[in-house]
Amino acid sequence: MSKVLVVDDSATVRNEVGSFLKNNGIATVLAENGKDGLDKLKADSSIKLIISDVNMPIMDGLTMAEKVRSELGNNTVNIIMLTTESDARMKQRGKDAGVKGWIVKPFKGDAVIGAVKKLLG
Amino acid sequence: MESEAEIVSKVFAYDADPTALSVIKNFCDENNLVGFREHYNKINKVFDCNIDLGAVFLSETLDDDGKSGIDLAVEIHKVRPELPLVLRRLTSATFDGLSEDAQSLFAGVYTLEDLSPLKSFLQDHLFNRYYPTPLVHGIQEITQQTLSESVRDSIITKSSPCLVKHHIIYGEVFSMIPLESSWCKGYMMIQTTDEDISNVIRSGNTSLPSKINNESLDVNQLLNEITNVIWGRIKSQFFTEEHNADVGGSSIQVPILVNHAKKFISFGATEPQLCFTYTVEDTQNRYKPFTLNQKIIFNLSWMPENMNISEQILSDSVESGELELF
Repeated sequence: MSKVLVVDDSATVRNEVGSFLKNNGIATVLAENGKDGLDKLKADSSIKLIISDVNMPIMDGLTMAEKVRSELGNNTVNIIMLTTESDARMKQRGKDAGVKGWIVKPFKGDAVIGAVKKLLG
Repeated sequence: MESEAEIVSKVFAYDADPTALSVIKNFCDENNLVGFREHYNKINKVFDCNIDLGAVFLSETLDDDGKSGIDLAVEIHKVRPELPLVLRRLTSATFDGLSEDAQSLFAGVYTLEDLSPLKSFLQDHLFNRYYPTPLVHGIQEITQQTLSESVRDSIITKSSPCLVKHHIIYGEVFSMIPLESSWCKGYMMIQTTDEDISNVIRSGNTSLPSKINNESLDVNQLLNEITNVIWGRIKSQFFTEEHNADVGGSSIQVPILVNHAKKFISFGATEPQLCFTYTVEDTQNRYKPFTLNQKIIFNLSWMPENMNISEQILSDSVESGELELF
């Protein structure tokens, strides 16, 4: 079963996104920062989509996205950023790292569930 | 009641002369001041409870206990040394006849016959910094919206934005995040009470489970997320990318001093800070209404003439919460 990796330093957001996906029949793996996210991705090949915050301690979400492609060589997992950031240059950095989509917080599950399911394959 | 984004300042007046109090009240009404008074024996409480004071108006006139504003100034100075005090003199608006110690307590003097020194005092000490209305209004709106999204079924009431001169830490828990762009550099603080936030989480009105596992951790998480979303929105709206590209004086820093014993935080600047107060109330009374105090402190850089409001907010077809696919 395909899973979604939710990466956010905020337990509030992890809980909110995780619960919403679970209630929609989607399995999740939770991570607290970019480094934790990379470790979880390495350990679980059923993760097909990452929903990640940008600003996090230890490793930020964009660096994680870049490392997913460059260090892990994983070009198949889809990545969506869920963040308070809406800066165009930051979005461009995301695009360059192969990020598929951008959600400006707050998370409104109903508005994105269709696209999330599609990206999950 | 919701108020407009007109900036006011709260001043405490202690004057035994009823005529003077009446004149001061009119002066306050005409000069964007919210004046209030209290009996001498309750004055300590005034300084404990009022975290949004801008100045104190005192008088030479003796009260029924034989105390004057000079006596009171000594006491206030011990607990709130940063608060500007102004003394109403009986004969002339000078420091003549006051001891050197007494003179050092006051930032200004005035008489009832001539209030112009009082007006100058306000201009020099409280309204000496211009905060653009769109910024003030925007911060209020962003915060109100974020609180409303973070605490379901809530009514958020905001008070008039206040200019404050003191550095009290309000409540029991606060979050702090830098605000940095080419035109400003400082911090945003959000302060509240631990138990109130716990009660909101327990009520099930937030994204966190209502069964609290680790009380302080959950309180921290909720306050952090609220702060984070407010910060992101302020950044998107007011720190536009062309300015963001060049964060002014990025290497400049000053130490922040926290005095735990006196519940005091200093950012190393004496300019008036912007202070907003929000009350969060449940539509179904599942938790006790609580207050959040938000302070904006631009202590390192302040060039509001360079401020640009992002057009992106108005023109962007992708709304918050929706997925923008690349």
